[in-house]
Amino acid sequence: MYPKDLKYTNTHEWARVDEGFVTVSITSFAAEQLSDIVYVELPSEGASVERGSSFGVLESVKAVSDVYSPVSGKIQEVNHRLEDEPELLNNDPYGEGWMVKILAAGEGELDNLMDAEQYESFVEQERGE
Amino acid sequence: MAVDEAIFRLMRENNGNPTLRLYTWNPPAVSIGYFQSSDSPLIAEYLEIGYPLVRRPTGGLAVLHENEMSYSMTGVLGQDGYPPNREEAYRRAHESIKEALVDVGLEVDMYRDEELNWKDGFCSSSWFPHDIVLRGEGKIGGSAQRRSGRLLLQHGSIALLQQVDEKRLAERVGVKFEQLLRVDLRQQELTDEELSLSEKLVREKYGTWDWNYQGRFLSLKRD
Repeated sequence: MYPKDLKYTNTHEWARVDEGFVTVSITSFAAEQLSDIVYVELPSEGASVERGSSFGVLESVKAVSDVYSPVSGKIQEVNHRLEDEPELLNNDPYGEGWMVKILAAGEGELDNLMDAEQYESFVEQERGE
Repeated sequence: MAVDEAIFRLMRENNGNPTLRLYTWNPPAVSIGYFQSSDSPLIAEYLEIGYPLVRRPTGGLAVLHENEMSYSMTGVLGQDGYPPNREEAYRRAHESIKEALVDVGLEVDMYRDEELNWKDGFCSSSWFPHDIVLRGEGKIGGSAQRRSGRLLLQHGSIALLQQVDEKRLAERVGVKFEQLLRVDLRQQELTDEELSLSEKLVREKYGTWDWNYQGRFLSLKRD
């Protein structure tokens, strides 16, 4: 159900390792929970981010939520399309709805994240609560 | 606003104990949502006649804080009986307020329509599911949220109608929140830490033009 080539956080972000950088956005579960996302605040290119700290903010109807970075590093690229088309996060969270590309500070930054199977059971647990 | 954010930020240190804060505004003011533009003719009408403006850390639309009671509640979703998710927190808080308003003699309902009704930039004239409605009249209660992981800050506004005794309403809201959020509340003053963080937040955020009018805020300076 969740893409096998991605890693996941317990705050519902995904991370994909490409050559030299890590692409990050929110999972389909997060998008579904938020419902229609209407505003997106993104960081600036070149900004430093720390693992577990907020790098962006989203608003769905009447709720503002922080988005957390799965890795430490520098923001290399930002998907500015989301500022005009925030619905991409709902419609295509693993593709056109990517948020940022981060140049990770070091190897092993993704080691503590969940794989797709672990994330699926984590979501089931949250749904059950 | 600064006090609410201070309570929210210090929740982890506070063992995640849920907090309910009830307050009124002096002087009356207009608050706007996190992403809302301050540049709107409807909001300008109030600013021109001298109402101060403050931007909230929560979402939603503009609120005129006059003849109303504000509340903020913070807690960790799914911990110590606190609601498991934000929708449930929203619904239960409004259910609590509705019951408190019934206790003080008003005939109120929750707006059931799934259809959103965004009329203008003000919360009071835009209707959302679970909003509180005075029977035969209009909306008298609404809320907005900020979520950081499992930490939730929820803000809301309840119109204070002439016939309502403010103290009695506050007392009933407290009792109903305890029942519906399944928490035990005890009355206490702000801690020294909450006070000093809120003063810092006033200096660096809520007291600044950049934040209130432009929504620009980088981060608190280190001491």
